[in-house]
Amino acid sequence: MASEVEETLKRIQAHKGVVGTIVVNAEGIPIKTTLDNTTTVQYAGLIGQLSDKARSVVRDLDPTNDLTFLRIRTKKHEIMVAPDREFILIVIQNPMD
Amino acid sequence: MPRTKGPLRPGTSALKPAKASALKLHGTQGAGEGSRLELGEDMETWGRARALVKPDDQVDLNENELKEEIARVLTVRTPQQSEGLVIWSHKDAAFVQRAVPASGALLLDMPSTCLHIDSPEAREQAAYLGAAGRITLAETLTMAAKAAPKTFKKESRRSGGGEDDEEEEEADGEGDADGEGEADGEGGEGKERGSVSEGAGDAPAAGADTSSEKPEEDASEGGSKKDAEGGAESGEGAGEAAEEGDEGASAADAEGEDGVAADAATEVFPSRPVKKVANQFNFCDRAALTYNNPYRTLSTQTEPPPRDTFSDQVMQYIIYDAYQKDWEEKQAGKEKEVKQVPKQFGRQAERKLDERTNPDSSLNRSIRAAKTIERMLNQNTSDDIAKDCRYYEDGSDEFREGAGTLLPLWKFYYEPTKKFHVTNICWNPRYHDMFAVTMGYLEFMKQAASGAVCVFTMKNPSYPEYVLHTASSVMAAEFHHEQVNLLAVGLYDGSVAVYDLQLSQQDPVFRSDSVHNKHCDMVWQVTWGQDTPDGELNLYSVSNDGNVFNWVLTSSTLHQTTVISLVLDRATPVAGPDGTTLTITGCGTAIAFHPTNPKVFLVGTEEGQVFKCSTEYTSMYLLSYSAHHMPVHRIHFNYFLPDIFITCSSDWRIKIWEDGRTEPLFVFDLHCSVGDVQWAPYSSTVFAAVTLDGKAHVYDLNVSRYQPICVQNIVSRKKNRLTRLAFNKKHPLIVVGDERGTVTSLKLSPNLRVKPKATKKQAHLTPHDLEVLKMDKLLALVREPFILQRPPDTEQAVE
Repeated sequence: MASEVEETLKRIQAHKGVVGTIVVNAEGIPIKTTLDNTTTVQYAGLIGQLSDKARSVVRDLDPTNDLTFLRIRTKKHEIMVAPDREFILIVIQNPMD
Repeated sequence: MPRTKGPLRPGTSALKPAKASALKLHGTQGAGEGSRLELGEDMETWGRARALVKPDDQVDLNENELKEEIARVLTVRTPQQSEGLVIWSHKDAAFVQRAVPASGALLLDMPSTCLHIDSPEAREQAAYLGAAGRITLAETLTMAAKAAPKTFKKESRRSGGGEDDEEEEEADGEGDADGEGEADGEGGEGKERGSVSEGAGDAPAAGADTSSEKPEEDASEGGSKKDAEGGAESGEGAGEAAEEGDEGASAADAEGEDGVAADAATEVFPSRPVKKVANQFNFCDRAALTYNNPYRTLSTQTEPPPRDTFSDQVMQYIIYDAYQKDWEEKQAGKEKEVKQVPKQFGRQAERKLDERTNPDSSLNRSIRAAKTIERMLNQNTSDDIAKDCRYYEDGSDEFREGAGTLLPLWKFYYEPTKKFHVTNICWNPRYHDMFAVTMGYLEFMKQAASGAVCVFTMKNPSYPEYVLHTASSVMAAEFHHEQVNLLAVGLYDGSVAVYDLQLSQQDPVFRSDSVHNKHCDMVWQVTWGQDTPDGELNLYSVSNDGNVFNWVLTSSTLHQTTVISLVLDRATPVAGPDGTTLTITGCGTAIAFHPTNPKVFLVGTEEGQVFKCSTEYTSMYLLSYSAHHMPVHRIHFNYFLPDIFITCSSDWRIKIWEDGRTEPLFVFDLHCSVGDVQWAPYSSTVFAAVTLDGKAHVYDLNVSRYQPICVQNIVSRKKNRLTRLAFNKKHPLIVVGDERGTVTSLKLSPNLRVKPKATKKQAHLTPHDLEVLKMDKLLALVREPFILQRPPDTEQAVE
């Protein structure tokens, strides 16, 4: 089972246009990354805040609702965020590649 | 308190020299006064030694004037106290009168606990002490009467008068304050009597006190006028006093006897504690002012309690969550109460199962998150294809009458199974984006010792959602129509298995792997049957060994029954080499159940025969079609007309049949072995087929009864061949499998899915009816009339 996650992450990393994959644990500490240290820390910190805020927005509009995914489309990249209670999975893709 | 009333008594003046002197200064001048105030004589002598100084303005008074009695009253007011005391009030901004400070000071206030023996309280107490206490009291009285009947009598008499009570009180107070020595001087006679009762404790002393007090009382009270007559009379007074003292002494005697008697009583019953009633005559409350302990200040510096700054934001959802949690806890508590008994077995297994199946476990959530991200990536990379799939309609179809195209979309493949052939494709009946692809080998010489089932989803073309590895080539698969997570699989080695995709495990939940519990040859097709009356799932499999098996899924095993053996010619067994007879069985390759009658099914064989069978008769066919000359690859019933079915075979032909008619209605020759043929789910007249030369053919009988409306090369003819195809039930899509383990999805252009237009007369018909009508119209053209025999008589007549 756990290996299934590993494999999926490996496939994601091998996917066309993927710049990096970051897994952040519940404390906001990156536990798995394919990017360099500074970028990882920056992404982990900022995306963590953003997803918290986004979740708070969704929950505040309707408490029975919840945030499941977050896609941030930028000029250069698309940042895909899967925010969970226990982890945040961040994947940065360059869809133009 | 009694001292404040009435005039001063001479007996007491010795103790109050200051008052005595004050009296002298104010009221007395004459030397004759000395005789009256015995103790004042010393002072008289002291005063005589000096010249009497007299103020000038002193009023001279004669004898009578001097004798005039001036009543003096002592008031509680202090003369020295100033009266006009004021204080500045800030509130009123003026001087206000200040309250006069209290002139007296209360030093000690203490209620006494003693009771008079004759008082009702004392009686109550005696009653409380019980019968024994009463006896002692009674005894005391009798003993006292025996000892001194006379005095006792007197005592009783005395106790009657209210004045006497007062006297007793008086005596008590005086005796305490002044001591015994005072009585010695005057009560000399009293002593004779008093000595009788000596040695009886306090009582004699009390008696003496009384005796000494009495004369004074009488002298002062009764004879204030006698005093004025002369000093001689004082002796008489003294005598009277002595008499009175006698009485007092006798009273004291009685009292003393009482005390003795009480003591005696206590001696008689020593074991019984008798509560002592306080002596009413000689009893005092003593109080002492003790030293105040010096104050001491002690201070300690403690460590300050730790401080922390806490701040939080409360949103609506946080409150909601808190309530939700509370509610869940309450529910859990209730459940615990209910579920206390059955909790003994399988706890560990349960937990294990939970970890795997619970969709909310963190592991499953992380898998889901990763998979969703993967889908997003695919959506991003193949954005154009996704949009084509959803929105693109071939515009050129408008200019092509009766012809359409297939638009290739994604290609699905799984790297490890790229060398396998796609042996079957099956869409999921509920999730229209999901399909299962079985990987095996269609060539007998090329079999490998493994196979796989890949379950793809259109949302993730890059990687299969599930991969099930098997020990043998997989030849067939089908999803259950209700429980869509169950996938029945037929294998090359003759066994069948059922997988549960929800469990996400590699092992099948059901498997027929024993020697007897399987087919003797490869399984060509599996299909789910209608559930048994008991609600058990069951499936049918057709195999090369000529048997159709029915498998019932019991609790743990697959229970097998033979439905029919495909004997080719039941009537004439073939003669064997040694004179024996053999029955030759056909090799089943395809099976299809009648859509409306679940007991009837068709079986195709390698010999080209198609048998119509029933699950209720195992020994005979309902009908036998000589359909093809080569193996039948597919039998498929029309979605709209349940009696119309289509077959395809390696003999290059596709044939459309009507149930009960041994001759085909339509025959199409594709000039190549036809791997698969399927009716379209959206139209009654459209079907598609794939041929080994890599082409997909789409026919619409309504458009052309002879020519396909679309023929398209899907894969390169030299390298690859197409094997199977499947229509999506909802979207205008087909998926085509080839011999390289790849599945290509294709979108049907608008011309390939033309819907019949209702005329004005048909306005009330549903689309389904229109489809049926369309096909019926076509069939009417090709159906041969049932009776087509020329009457023999006429023929003969002509000849």
